[in-house]
Parts: sequence; C-alpha cells; structure tokens
Amino acid sequence: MSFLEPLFLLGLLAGAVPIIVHLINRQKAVRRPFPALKLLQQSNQKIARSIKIRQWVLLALRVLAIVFLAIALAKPYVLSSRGITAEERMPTAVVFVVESGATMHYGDWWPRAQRTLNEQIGKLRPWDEIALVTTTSSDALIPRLTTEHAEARREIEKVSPAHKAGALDQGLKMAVDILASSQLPNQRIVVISDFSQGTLAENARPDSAVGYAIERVSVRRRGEEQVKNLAVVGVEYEQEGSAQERTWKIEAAVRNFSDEDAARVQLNLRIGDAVVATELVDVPAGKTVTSTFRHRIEAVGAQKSVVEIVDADRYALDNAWYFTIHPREQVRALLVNGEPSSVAQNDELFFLMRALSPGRGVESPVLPTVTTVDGLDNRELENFDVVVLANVARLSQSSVAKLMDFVEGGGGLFIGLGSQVDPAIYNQQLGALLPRPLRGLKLLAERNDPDAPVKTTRFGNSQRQHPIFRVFSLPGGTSIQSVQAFSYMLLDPSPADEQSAVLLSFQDNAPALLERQVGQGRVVLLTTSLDLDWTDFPIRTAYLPMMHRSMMYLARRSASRGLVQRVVGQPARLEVAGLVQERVIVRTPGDSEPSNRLVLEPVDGEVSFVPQYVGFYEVWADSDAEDVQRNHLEQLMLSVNLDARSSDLRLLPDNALDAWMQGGAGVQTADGLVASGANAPPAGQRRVNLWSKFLFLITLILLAETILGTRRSVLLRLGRLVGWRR
Amino acid sequence: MSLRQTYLDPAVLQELGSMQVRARTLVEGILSGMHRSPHRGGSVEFAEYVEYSVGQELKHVDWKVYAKSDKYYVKQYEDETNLNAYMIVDGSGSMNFQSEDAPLTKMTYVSYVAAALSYLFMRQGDAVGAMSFDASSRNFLPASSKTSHLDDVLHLLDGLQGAGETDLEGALRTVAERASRRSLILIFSDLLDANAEMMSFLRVLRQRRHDVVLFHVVDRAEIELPYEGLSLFVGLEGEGELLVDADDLRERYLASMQEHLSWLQGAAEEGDIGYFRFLTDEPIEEVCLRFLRRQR
Repeated sequence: MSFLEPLFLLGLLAGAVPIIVHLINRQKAVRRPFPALKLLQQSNQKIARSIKIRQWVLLALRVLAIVFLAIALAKPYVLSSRGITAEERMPTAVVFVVESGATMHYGDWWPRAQRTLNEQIGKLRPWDEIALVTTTSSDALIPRLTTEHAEARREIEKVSPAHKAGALDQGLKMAVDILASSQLPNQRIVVISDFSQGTLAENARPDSAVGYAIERVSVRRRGEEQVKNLAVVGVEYEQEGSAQERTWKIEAAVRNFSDEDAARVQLNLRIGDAVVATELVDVPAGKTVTSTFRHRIEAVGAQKSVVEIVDADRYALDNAWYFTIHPREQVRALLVNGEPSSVAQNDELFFLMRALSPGRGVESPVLPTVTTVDGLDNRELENFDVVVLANVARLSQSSVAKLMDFVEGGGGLFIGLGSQVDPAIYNQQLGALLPRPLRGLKLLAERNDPDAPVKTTRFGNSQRQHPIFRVFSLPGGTSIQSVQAFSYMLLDPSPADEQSAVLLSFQDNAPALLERQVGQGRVVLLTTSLDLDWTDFPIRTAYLPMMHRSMMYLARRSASRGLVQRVVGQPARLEVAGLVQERVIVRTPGDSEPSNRLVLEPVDGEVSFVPQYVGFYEVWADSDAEDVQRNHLEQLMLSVNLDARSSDLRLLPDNALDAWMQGGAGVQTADGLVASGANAPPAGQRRVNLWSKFLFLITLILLAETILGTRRSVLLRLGRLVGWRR
Repeated sequence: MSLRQTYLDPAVLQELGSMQVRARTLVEGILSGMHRSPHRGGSVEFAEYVEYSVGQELKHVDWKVYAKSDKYYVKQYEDETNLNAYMIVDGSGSMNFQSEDAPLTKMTYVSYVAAALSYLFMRQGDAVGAMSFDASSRNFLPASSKTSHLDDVLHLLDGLQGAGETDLEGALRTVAERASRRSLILIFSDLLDANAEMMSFLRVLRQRRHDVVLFHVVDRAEIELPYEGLSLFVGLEGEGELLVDADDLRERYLASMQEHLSWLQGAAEEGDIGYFRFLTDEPIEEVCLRFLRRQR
C-alpha cells in the first residue's frame, strides 16, 4: 500500500488520544460512598470479564477509527492489475500523442509504436473517445474526439516517421487543446514515444496551466534504456590551393552518444556512387572526434558526397552526412578588344581586364581571354560562356554568324559601345541580337569640358531585383548612382520586341543597360563605353561587381550556392533569379516517386521550401526532364542532414513531462515495455484508491462504537419503549 | 396543616428540636391515627384490632378507623403483661448512608423509629432497654419503665455515630445474655451482613420465648442503583473501592439485592421472626403503624 499524501500519516499519533482519554476519565470517576459494596463486588466478579472485554473492544474501536481516518486522509492506494474503479467506469477522453520524429527510425521502434497504439486502443471501452496527434505534424491525425477507434488504427498505418526531430511539447499542446473541448468526466493523454532527449525541446513549457493525467508508454524494450549510437554530426570541406589543383580537404565530426567507447569505427567517404576513401577512428563515450579526408576531384559540376559510418548501429539515419562539393567553375569570357592600344590605360579593355581578373593570388570566378576583332574568327566559341564586344567597329560575316549561333545556343553576349561604333553598321550586322536598334550618339560633354559636371548625366533607376543589381540593393551594396556619363548611344524609342528589357537607365531616362533573350541565350547592351571614353564608370566602385554579376548572369551561373549545411525541418531559400523562367522543380531524396518532387514558383527571384528528408535535393529550372541537362541547376543542389538533437537517444528525465501533468500526479502505467519514472507502477498495474473503503470502515466502526458505548440503561429504556409501543 | 393531621414527613421531622420532642411528636401523630385505649392505666392493655363479625358488640367498633379505612374494626384488649422491649440499633458505618434523594441517613431514620416506639412503650408503662452496636463498641441500656429512663434511651439513640463495621451476631449475643426474662427485641439494621448464622442466632432468641422483630432499613439507592457513568464506589465499612460503570453492574446488582432481600424475608418467616422492611423516604409513622398493627 502506498500513499499520495503521506504527511497525513502523522495523524496516526492521534490514535493514542482514546487511550489518554480513557486514563483521564479513570481519574475523573465520580467518588460515591456506598453501603452495599460487597454486593457490588460480588456482581462485578461475575461480569467483570465481559465488561473488560467490552471496554477493550470499545477502546480498540476508537483507536481504530482515528487510525483509519489518518490513513484515509493520506490517500492510500494499491497497485493492482485487476478490476477497475468506479471512476474508470465513466467515459474517458483519451488523446494519443505518438512520437513520429527521426528517433523512431531506430531499430523497430516505429512498428512497435504502431503496435502499441493498437494495443492501447484495444484496452478502451467502446464509449471512450479518442483523438490522435503526432509530434511532427502541426495538424492532428484525428483532431476531434471520436468513438471511431478503427479510424485511429487506419490513420497510424499511413504514417511514416519523419526525418526531422519530433516536438513532443507541440504534440502535448495539441492534446491539451483537444481535451479542453471535451466534456467527459475522465480525460487523459497517452504518450507513445521512445522518450529520447531529442524528442522534447529544452525548456519546453505548456501554454496552459491545466494539467492532465499523462500515461507514458515507451516503445523501448527492457535493456534499451541506453542504446548505442554513433553519428556523423558535421562535415567541413574546402578546396586546397588553386582552382586548378582540385584537391579537397574534408573534415568529418563523429560523435559517440552512448556510454561505451567505440573502437576502430570505419568511416567511408563516398563521392558520387564510389567510395573514395576510408578512415578508422576511435570515438570515446560522449566525445566527438574529427576525421580528415583529402581527395582530388577530377569531375566537373556539383558532386554528391557522403561521409558514412559503416556498420555502426541500428539508427541508420545519423550514420551518414550528406554534402555537395561544388568545384569552382570559372566563367570563361572571351573579350573582343575593338580598340587595342600600346598605352595600357588607353586600351579599351584596360579596366575590364582588371575588374574581371583582379590580380594574381585572387581566385576570380571569371576567366577572361582577350582577342582582337580579327581573332574572333579563329576562336571556337563553344569553349566560352560569354563573349564581350568592347567598342568593336565592325564584325566579319562569319563572326556575326558564329555569334548568332553562340547566343541562340545559350551563350551570353555583352556589348559595350564606344567611339568606333557606327549605329547603322551595328543595326545591320547585329540587329537580331541588339535589345533595341541604335540611333545615334548623344554627346553631353567632352571629358575636358570644365562645365562637364553640369552637362553630364548619371546612372538612374535600376531593376533592383534583377540578378545583376540585387547585390546593390542589399545592405552594404555599393551605390551606382554616382556614375557619370559624358556620352551614350541613343536607341530607338520603341521596343524592338518583347524579349528586351531596360535594366538600368540614365537620370534623363535614356536606357543605360538593356537585356534581350535570344533563343536560349542572353544579350546585354551597355549604351556607354567600358573604358573612360564616355563615362567614369570604370573607376567607380560599382564597376567591378556589376561586371562580375553581368558575366555570371550571362553565363547562367547562380550567385548563391548550396554550400550552407542544412538540417531537416529548417527552411531553405534559393536565389534563382535569372536561372529559371517560370518555376523551380526540386527533386527530394528518397524513392523516385512523383511525390518526391516539389514544384515551386519564384517570388522576387527566390524560392523557399522546408526540407523534410535527409539527403540531396536536386534543383531544376522549369523542367526536370533528363534530356535537357541544361535545366539542371547543379550549383543549387542542396544537401540536408539530420538535426543533431535527433541523434541524442538518451532517455528524458522522469520529471520531463511534469509540467503538463495534473498536480504532478504519478506516471501511469506502461504496457509492459519499459516502466519509466520513479513513481511508475510496475508493468501492467494500475492504481486503486483505498480511501473510500477506509471511510466505509470508519463508518462501521463508529456505528459499532455507538451501539457498544450506549449505556445499558438507555438501551433497556429504548427496548421498553419499543415494546410498550407494540 | 397540623402535624397531627397527617403523616410526618421525615424531612419535616428533621427540623424539629431534640430527640424527645421528635419522639413525642411522632407518637402523638401515631396515636392520633389510632383509637386511644379507653382503659387508661391499670391492667388493661390494647391487644389488637380484629375485623368486625356478626355478634360482636357495636360499642367496640372503632369508628375512626371505619372513617379512614371504610371497614369495621373492633378493638380487643388483653391484660397488661410486664413487657420488656429492647431497641437494638445498628451503629455501623453503612447505616450512615444517605443517597442524594433520601431525606435522612438510615441511622437517623431508625433512631426516630426506635425513639418513637420507645416513647410509646414507656407511655404504656412497659420497660424499654436499648443497645447500639458496631464492631468495636456496644452501648447497652438495661430495660426500665421509669419515666426518666426514656431520656437515657433517647440520649443513646441521639448519640449514634454510624462508624465501623457491623457485628450483629456479637450484639445478639449480648442481648441474649442480658435479657433474662421474655422480652420484645426490636433490631434496627440495614442487614447487609445478614447471613444464615445470624438468622440461627435470631431463632435461638425466638426459642427463648423472646419476641424478635427485624426492622430492615433500606435506602432507595440500594435497591435501584440509580447512578450513571464511571463511578468509584467506596465501601463505608472498609470494604475498599470499586471502579466501575454502574450501568454495567446494575442488572446483576439488582438481582443480587433482590435475592438477598427475598432470602431475608424467607428466613424471617421461617424462624417466626417479625420482619419489616422500609425505605428511608417513607413516612416514619407509617412504619410505626405497620409495626403496631401487626404486633400481636
């Protein structure tokens, strides 16, 4: 027998009160001189024994009544596996909270959870109402209490455990909300979980002050209170040396979450489908060990890479860490110099070269190659991503044709103007590529004109969300409004076709930068010069970023990369401006089912989604048909890994759920799996309150005491009264 | 209301002065309820009342009695015999008992009865002796018919202390030794210690031609045990104490008491011994009258 309020057992001391009263009464007895004492003594001798017995019985009854009262106040109970109390016969509202987070991937915990739910439902009476919530979904599986128990059985069969960490507190919050609407006399929450540390956020507190009885049913077997778990908790990687060396240093962190040391743990580095390196490490209990791989990657494009532990434990989900290696791929730009000069600063490409290739020792994303107008004929344009025409006066017919093919095939063309450009020739030769036909030069001021500051114009409005200008809109972005233009090329006012757009204007509203989609490729036209002839743009801070962004844009390179290490459940944001036309398709990891495919529409040049599984997320532009490889945005490929919290399979402390419980009431029974909690009754047992029985006994005792304690004279009188009435 | 017109209440009697006054008051009351003897002095002694039967002289009918009892009684007389009467009064501790509702102690009550009877006997010219007894002392007054002797008798009765144990057998032995001629021996006691031996003593006295009459005084509390709750009963003659709830004992005690009383009455009848039992809350004259009416 145990007690809920053991403090009241101090009342047992009050059991001495009747004895003390008896002793006091004995001293307080009325003294009566009496002549016939001998007769009294003789009478007493004959019935003394029965009187004594009666007195002892009375004393015992009084002591018992007080002792039982103290015991009843202490709320005694016993644990029993049989029978139900009157309370339990009343209908009960039960909300099942089933853990469905990543930890349920351990061994067979999830099938056990499903089985346990079925068993728990089987124990209910038909009139009990149930609801079902999981810890990984913000919507309850069965949001309203119902007597349709079969529905819960069906629903749980459809569920698979998620890869993200479960939020038991969220589940309990939903359960409390559901129970708040119930009118049934009995209400309780049954939590079916592995009760790992990772299932409950630290400092999780209930919103409501209302507590409910919470029955904890663990899916762990006996002996699984402590489970072995090794996890790869992070990978850091970087390219060593120059871009040409292609050697990568990869550091993997392995943590041992169990109490036993792990010796000679085999780590594999897998690039693509092949295991390229293996390491053996010793991981002490509770420690994290870092293992370093070095690997030379010959292949181009994003590489799916995994560091995995071989034969580690029964929790496969955290035994691998997914990451994507993006070998730096430079934009190959062919710069056609229309006005070469032996004096360096007079050379048309003097500034552009320095902008695109800042100097030795600095890895530039652009690899510029310079050629002359004549040299263009001899170049294979397939080897380049972008062609820049800088103040080119005239192109040969063959060059024009090559450029047309190049752009239509997906290449990028940047046209910078200058004093050698004849609008008529340009319109004739490159009309099919120019965003708008050229009309003529507008000369605002000569460079040496003392009134130039008054006469010149400046860069004005830009398309802030355009990939080229996005960087200028960000905090710290350089202003381009300070750029002066002495001369620029006027364009025909009407748009040549719908494929062209003005990206940047002068302050007098004349277009400064335009783009046009031609076939699969893009053409960008700068209406002023790339050197200092017509503008001071090359010596402004905005020159370098804008030219870089223009090259990247024309080469269809994304400005963002999937370098950030992401975990499941955290939103991922991708910058896709300039890369896609209408939509982004994300292939999620796992089975290649149509459902593992997200179709997203960009908003302000970005798409965002929440990864739900660990693994690689391939991003496709507009169509993910395998035959159009160009749509595969490799550089945006995401790798998503398990939240380190989910690797912590140590048991929650026993009092973890106390805040949600009714007055800290005891933990209810488990179904024979694992009894957790200091106050938890043994498996299969339940609490039976005894205080009502003690009160009944007290009533009987008081009745008996009344009858035994009533004076014989009163009883005789009563008897006579009854007899007389008859 | 005149005392003589009614039976004397013992409580009222208590208010009166000396024992002599009380005795005289009592006797006057008694006599007012009886027909006075027309034969004053001399040799004629009132014998008894007998119910009237056809053939008897009407002049002997006591009309006062008729007025009271609605029956015809005829007085009968016998010649005076020289009667010695002894008042043997129990002076033990138990006689000193007076329950809450009782007007007098048993001792006082029997003193009054004995005094009244002594007065009556002396008035008739009989000799009266007296003796008080307890375990330690006995005061004996030999029988005498001198008028002044009454004072001695009354003084003895007035001076009873009511202490010590009862020794009835010893007292009877003394009387047997001292009473040389045929006497009327009146024993006043609560008879709580009465036993077969005592009764056999009485029978011996009876066999010696003494008239023996037992005046058994009882307090009502002794035959009802009216107490409630836990009580410490203390014996009056050194029997010790008994802590008991009176309720528990009452039934058994009353049965024992009844058995004792029945045995006493039976034994008295068997031994041809006069036996009068009375309660201390009864009028004293009534007790005297009962004795006088039955005395042969």
